Amino acid sequence: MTDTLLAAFALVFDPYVLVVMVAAGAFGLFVGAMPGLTATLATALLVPITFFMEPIPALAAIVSTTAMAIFAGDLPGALLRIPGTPASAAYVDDTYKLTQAGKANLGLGTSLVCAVLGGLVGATILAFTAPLLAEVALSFSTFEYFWLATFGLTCAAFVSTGSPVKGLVSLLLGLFIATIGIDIMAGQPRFTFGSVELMGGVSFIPAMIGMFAVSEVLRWALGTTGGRDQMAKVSQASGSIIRPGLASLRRYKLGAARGSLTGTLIGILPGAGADIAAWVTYAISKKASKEPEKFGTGHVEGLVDAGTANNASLGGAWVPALVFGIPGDSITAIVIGILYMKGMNPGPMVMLNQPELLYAVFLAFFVANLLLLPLGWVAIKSYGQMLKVPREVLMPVILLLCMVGAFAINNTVFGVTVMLVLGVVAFIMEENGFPVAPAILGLVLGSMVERNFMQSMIKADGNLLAFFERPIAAGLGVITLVIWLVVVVSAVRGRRRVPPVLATTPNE
Amino acid sequence: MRFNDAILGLVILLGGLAIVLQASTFPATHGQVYGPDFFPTIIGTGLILSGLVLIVAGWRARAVTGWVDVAGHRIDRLVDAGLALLAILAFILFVDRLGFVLTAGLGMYVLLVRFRGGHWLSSLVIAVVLVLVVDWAFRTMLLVPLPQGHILPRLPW
Amino acid sequence: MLRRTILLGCAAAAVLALGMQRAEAAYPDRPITLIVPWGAGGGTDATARILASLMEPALGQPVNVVNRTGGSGVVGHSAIATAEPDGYTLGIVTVEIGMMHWSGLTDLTYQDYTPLVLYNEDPSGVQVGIDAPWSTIDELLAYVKDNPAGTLKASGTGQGGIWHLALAGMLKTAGMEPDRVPWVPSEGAAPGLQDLVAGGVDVVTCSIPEAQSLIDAGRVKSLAIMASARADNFPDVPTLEEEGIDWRLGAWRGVAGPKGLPEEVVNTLVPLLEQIHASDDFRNFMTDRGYGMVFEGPEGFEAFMAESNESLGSVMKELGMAK
Repeated sequence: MTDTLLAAFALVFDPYVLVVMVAAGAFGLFVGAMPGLTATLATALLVPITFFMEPIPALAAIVSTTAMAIFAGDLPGALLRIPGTPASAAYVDDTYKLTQAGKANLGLGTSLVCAVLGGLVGATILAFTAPLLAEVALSFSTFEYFWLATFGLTCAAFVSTGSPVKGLVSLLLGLFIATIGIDIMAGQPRFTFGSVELMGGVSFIPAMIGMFAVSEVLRWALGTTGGRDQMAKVSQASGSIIRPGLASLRRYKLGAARGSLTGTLIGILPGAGADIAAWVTYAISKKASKEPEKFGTGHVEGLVDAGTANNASLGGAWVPALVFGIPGDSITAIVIGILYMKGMNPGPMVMLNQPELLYAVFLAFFVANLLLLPLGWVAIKSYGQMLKVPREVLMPVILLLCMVGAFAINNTVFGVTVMLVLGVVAFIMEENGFPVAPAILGLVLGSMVERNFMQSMIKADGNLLAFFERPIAAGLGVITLVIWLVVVVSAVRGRRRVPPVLATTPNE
Repeated sequence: MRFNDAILGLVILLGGLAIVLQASTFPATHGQVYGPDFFPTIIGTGLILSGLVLIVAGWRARAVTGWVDVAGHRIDRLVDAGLALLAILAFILFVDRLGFVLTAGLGMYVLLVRFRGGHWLSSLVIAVVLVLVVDWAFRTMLLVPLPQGHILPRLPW
Repeated sequence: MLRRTILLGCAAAAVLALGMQRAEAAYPDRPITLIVPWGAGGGTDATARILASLMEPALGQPVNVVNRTGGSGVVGHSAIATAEPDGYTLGIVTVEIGMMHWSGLTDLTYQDYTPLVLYNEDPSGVQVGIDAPWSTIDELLAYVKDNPAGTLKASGTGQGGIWHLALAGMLKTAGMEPDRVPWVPSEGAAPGLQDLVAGGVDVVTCSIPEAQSLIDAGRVKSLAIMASARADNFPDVPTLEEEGIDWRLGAWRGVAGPKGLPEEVVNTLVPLLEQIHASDDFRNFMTDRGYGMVFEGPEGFEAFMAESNESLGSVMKELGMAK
């Protein structure tokens, strides 16, 4: 054991490996900070470069890139209200409003410190409990996944603000968009109107860019967000960054602990990655908070939970990938490909034959997250310069980056079309008090709910009770149903107290 | 641009109806209880019901809210927003033929001049530099094959 | 306004001058896009990326792998076929090109491509969980026969996908209804195998390289492969033929471009791909991951696709999976 650890130390604390990690980290920060470019894309772009590397620098580069990219996604989120990666979408309103209130250093400092903490916790859990936890996740069949995804959708009820009916409409819209394309269950094209592009479905990234960024540009152009007439004094992230970050951490210790643990657990589940981790923990935080009404208005509490969770999930996702060769998310799907290419077939055999390689990966996680502190600090400081650019210049630039980002997903203008259409839809929705977040969640989880429901029903010959026959599924199902009941009951009670919501009631 | 909930409710109701009708044309899957129409039908039904709720709420509130509220939108602002949308639309329609640099550059130029209220020359400089930097970064560092088009020559990178 | 017009005019003139020069450069003088109709991390993606990395230094131009996923492969295959036939957009064509048009998803066939080389073919294996009560394919098939239809469930790909066809064909050849073991569609072999380990399904038909890590981990066992000879890296797994079931089916992958690629392009790429195929780098990669290596040049590949197209079509019609 000691020998293995020493060997792993020697592998990671090699000057070449460290230089690679810093370079990969800078690359990850850049990609993550570009709206629309995800951590997955950053990893995919690294693949050809890793061909020319030894296994350890190759894996260390990926670990470093993804940790930085997930944090960097918070930068455009906070400063421009465009989440750089989907994992930052859950709390984008909080960080953006903090920036508008001149407290960008608080928002980004919290987000940086939480990212580091979450990453370290995720790495620790990865290192110590990898085999054990993967065992639990592996026993999940479609019944459990159905409940898990449904549970995720239930979170939409918590993250949405304003009128419940409008939140429901938004959720249904997201779910509907998720059904577009060829249905893998029957091979039936749905709502494609003969378009080959639509057969592939609506990608999440361009949809998100449209719904968050394009609608924001439109609102600015129309002058509805304010700030266009009187040049709003938006301060950049000036002042101390780390100190207010640590202060928020101290203040919401419990949330940080909850976020890092839940985030890691969600990361371990195959198919659920950093974005779902952020949404779920944000909802939990709101539910557990003493002041839930402040969520979404520039409050750091949810940010602490979700900001730790999305980085923690990265470590978690490597657990099933390394132990059984089953990807925990799309990033580790690529990692598995690289592992094979390097002749390290992921599986328990690696643990027996080359344990120092595994420990080196764990160490790389620690190093990457410690590196995140200085690199992230530099990124926050320099990214803030962007806000010195007048808005009249910045808005066209954002539009340009949106178009390129939406294009880059599949390298076709189809992504840009999706972005345009959904941008206009989201603009109209928000103008009329429909929250956008539930639509995004529906879009992400819709196909997962449907697919697992269908697969389960084929297995059970249409018997709905099968969803409660396996112990874990039954537990998850009961929890979900209880939450629904609570939501319905409190909604009915709430209705009695508050008069019917008027059409023009602003939801902000 | 705010609409009375009844108007939006009607749109949502019709949308839901269209989804349900379209879904009813999907063939049933052999030997299975739930086919490809199952989820779309639930979603469509949900939209119809939500639409009805909104229609009722909007009808009750019509005296207070009116039907359409476009107050606060100045014509020039509408033109600004329209131009931003047009820039995206032009990108979609012409980028494959004209290439990224030309399409995006022209769009950026028009928007910059419009938003800044003039500054013809400095806007041109900003637009050109911006588009070239983005083109360079995406092509070389991110390996995104932005459309080359058939007009401009290949840039040195 | 006038200034702008002049500027634009100058730019256009400069462009034309440069454009003339460019036309004389030899292929390839700019980056090549290699379209993969399947997702990152899968087998098609992995083999495409290694090919691209080996093509780059030889061509002196970047070869960008682009995943165009979705629509059960229709989207990516369409993107390859409808690209400009200038040699700067190529793609990986997979076995599904001989299936999609039979099931009515698209009008595309293998004839919409310029075939370059065929580089891989993997037979389907029949996998069951390690604790499953069957230790041979005979026992499994006997169990299916003796129990009511629908007792066992299988998975491995989407509805009507290649591994679904593999299962249905095997059952049919063994004298049973092709849907006696109902198919639970999944997004690919990996989720299907995970469900097998989790106890959600009983049988997964997919290629052996896809199942390799779980077989090595002692989670899954392979009872048979649907090939005419045993696989080199799994010599203990018998073929169906040995067990008296005359049924073979595999998935293949090849490099192709849109219809009408210029001769210059074909003459540059085919010898290069042949050389890469024979290189140690490629060979080691393919054998390490258990991918079956085959090679056909343009004519052989075209004939292979024609034959594959016909046999898949007739099987799909027999099984009622064609429209």
